[in-house]
Amino acid sequence: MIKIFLTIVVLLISSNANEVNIYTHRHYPSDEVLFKTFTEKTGIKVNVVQANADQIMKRLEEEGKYTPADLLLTVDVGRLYYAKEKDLLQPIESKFLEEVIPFNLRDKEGHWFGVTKRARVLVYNIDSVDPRSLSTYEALADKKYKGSILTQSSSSIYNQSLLASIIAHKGEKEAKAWAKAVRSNFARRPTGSDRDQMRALAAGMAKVAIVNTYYVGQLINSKSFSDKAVAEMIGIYFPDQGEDERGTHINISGIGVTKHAKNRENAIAFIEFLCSQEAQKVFTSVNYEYPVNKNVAPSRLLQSWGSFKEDSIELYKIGQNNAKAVKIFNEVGWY
Amino acid sequence: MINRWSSFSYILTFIIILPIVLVINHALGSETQTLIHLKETVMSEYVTDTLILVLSVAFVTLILGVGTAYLTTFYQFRFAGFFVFTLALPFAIPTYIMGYVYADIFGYFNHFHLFLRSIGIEEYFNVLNIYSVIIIMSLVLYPYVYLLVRASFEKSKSALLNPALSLGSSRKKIFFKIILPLSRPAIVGSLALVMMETISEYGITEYYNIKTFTPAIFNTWFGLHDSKSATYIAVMAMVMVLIVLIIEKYNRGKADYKTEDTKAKVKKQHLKGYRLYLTYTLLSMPIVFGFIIPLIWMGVYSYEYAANILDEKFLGTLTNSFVSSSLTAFIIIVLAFFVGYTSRIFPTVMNRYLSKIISLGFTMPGAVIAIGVVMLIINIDKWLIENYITKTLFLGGTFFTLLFAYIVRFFAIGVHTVDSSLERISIDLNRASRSLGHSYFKTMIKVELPLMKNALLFGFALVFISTVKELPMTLVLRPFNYETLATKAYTLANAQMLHETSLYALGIIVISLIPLSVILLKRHV
Repeated sequence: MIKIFLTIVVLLISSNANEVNIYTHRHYPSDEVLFKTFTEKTGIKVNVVQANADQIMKRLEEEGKYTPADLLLTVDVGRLYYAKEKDLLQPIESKFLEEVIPFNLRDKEGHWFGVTKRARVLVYNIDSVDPRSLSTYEALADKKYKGSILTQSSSSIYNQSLLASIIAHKGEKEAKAWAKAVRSNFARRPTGSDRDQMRALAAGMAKVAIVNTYYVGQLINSKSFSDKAVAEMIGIYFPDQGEDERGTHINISGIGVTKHAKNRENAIAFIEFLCSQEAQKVFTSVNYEYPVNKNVAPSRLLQSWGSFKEDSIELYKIGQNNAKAVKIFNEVGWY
Repeated sequence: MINRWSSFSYILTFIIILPIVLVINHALGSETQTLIHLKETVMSEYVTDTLILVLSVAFVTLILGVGTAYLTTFYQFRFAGFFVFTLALPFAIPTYIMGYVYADIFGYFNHFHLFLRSIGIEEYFNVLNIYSVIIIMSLVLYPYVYLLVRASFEKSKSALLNPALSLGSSRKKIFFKIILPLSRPAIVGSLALVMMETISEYGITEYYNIKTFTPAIFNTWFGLHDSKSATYIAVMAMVMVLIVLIIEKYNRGKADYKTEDTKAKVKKQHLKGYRLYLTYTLLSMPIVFGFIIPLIWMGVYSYEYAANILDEKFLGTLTNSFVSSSLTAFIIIVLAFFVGYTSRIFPTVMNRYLSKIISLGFTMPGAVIAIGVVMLIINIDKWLIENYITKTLFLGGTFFTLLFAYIVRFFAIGVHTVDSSLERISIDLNRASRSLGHSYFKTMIKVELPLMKNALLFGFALVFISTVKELPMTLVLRPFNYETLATKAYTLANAQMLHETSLYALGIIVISLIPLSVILLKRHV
């Protein structure tokens, strides 16, 4: 009896609706707009759970082959790399995606694809710093910056990825020496978000901060008068631009089809939509991120910051070194 | 002796702690490599920050909570009723929102510093530090102590105070010799809740970068990808709290805290002159900083945008919060009452410590409990599927999962409120009823329930508000497209949309007011 009842309930719930189910870490207004547009264009309903990526990935892992999720959308390549390692994603083939997304911004086997780019740059207080005195991430280790660097704590996954990129380029030993030296140059014990670093920078607490570019965009376009004031007092500097230097560290927000996706075709259509010109324009204009699609130019605001040379390392190498980076942060006391 | 009552309690306890057991089981044989690494590097920092934060918050909430409860119970002054009500309100503001509010107000280009510069002070005060976290968490959490201790004061005041006063004891002496010792169960119970919630708090410790055990767990689990060592740390925190609770319970031993309620009026002292103004000042401080300032902040920000957001979606979110919170609170209070009553009528050693075991979930960060809940629910689902009862996930990713997680996490609040109140009711009443031939169940309904009504309502309100504010479990366990006021406020705050954030935060306060007003106004104290 109970069995029959349950079967009926299940049948009612699992009616084959035309939908796609997403676990996402991203909590930006741009995404809500895009979900809506996708439904309008295709008639495919977008169902969303938005939560911390590390935890939602654990849910995905536990749910195993019964997961309702078709897509995992997250920020930071380290997590995508880990999701692939944990066998949570499946490879897909898409001519379109392979054509428009540069090689280094997607997984070789098609497990994940970048959808937006963000650069981790230096911002400086325009009153106290001549941008010509800035050069590379490595230069921040110099003693002349004592007491004048601001950045987030080591639990920031963006800092983890920055250090992981240094490990990938220069090895653990040099990366550790760098982290240790930068740590001893901190203006204060790391606290707050990237935005808070810029607020403290504008307050004259330090000379340089390490932040992601889209946070600068958020401050510039903020409804809060004080954040607008902060934005006016800081300048953006893209480090590592010299000829024999590797370029500014970039990271991605990326997406992959889950291993046990029930709506695989819809999921692929969704990824292709996110990388289409239309969606890429929304990402760059609403959320101030750089497009991954080669054929889409950054928004006017982003262009006003200037073009720059990107670190073209294959991003999975950053994911590989993530845990090592966390260990180094612990060892040098970059809390 | 195993009987029906006890077995029900055992089964319930088992179900509630099962997710935690699953997580711990997962940690067995933890990777010593990682633990050695942590011990050599950051562990001392984690332990120090945890101890400083937990002990300081416990101390401040003790002073604030007992102080405000004492002043509003034993003294009479104008607007006393107003204070009784508003003193509970800071509890309705989520800690992480309060953290944002003060970080914003003290921003270099914001109100506080603009004011300083206008009077010629150029100094920059950075508030993103552990002292701010201590103050903010104390402001949010002292109402636990205030509400539970006040309920206990109310019970003892007339029976004890009048004879003592007529015997000529000074008020100071009465407070320290009679009132305070008698309220020990309430003080300890509420402080336990405060300490557990402080340990498991994530949002504000992450934002202000305070290295307590909770960030340590996250750092180890998701940064070093070592879930075993992470759980090991979680268990360590749990054991610490458990030891404190057991020592206290043991120390209390057979001490008797029972008093009979009498209807005699207590001689409340009238406050006059400077003491009246001092009282006003003292009582206003936590209200102003813990409620009014954040409320003004939200009001200012949400004022212009209210009209844009107050639509069906907002109402839907409000309904979600209200339904999940009232269901959670109702289930927890009923079950906690059963468990408490069982250990009262069958006071075996096992039954007496059951309430301590069952409340363990409260020391664990919500996100870790969420993982335990997922493990449990998915295993049940897999069993159902393998036995051809269902085809897809039947419980996982549904509202039921979320509800169960709330119950696991907040059961501690129910248990502690029930316990601290039951300990004040003489067992003789129960025996008298039994000797008249009433069953245990009937006695429970006819004797204990009416006496406990207020305490149960308090418990209901505390669980309700905690659930409304709950964030980490809701985020990760929720069904598709399910939003609560807390998830919305958090998401919007993260996107720096302060106007929209504040409207949802206001929503949290407004629905938290419902159970609070029912209790506090009805009792017209």
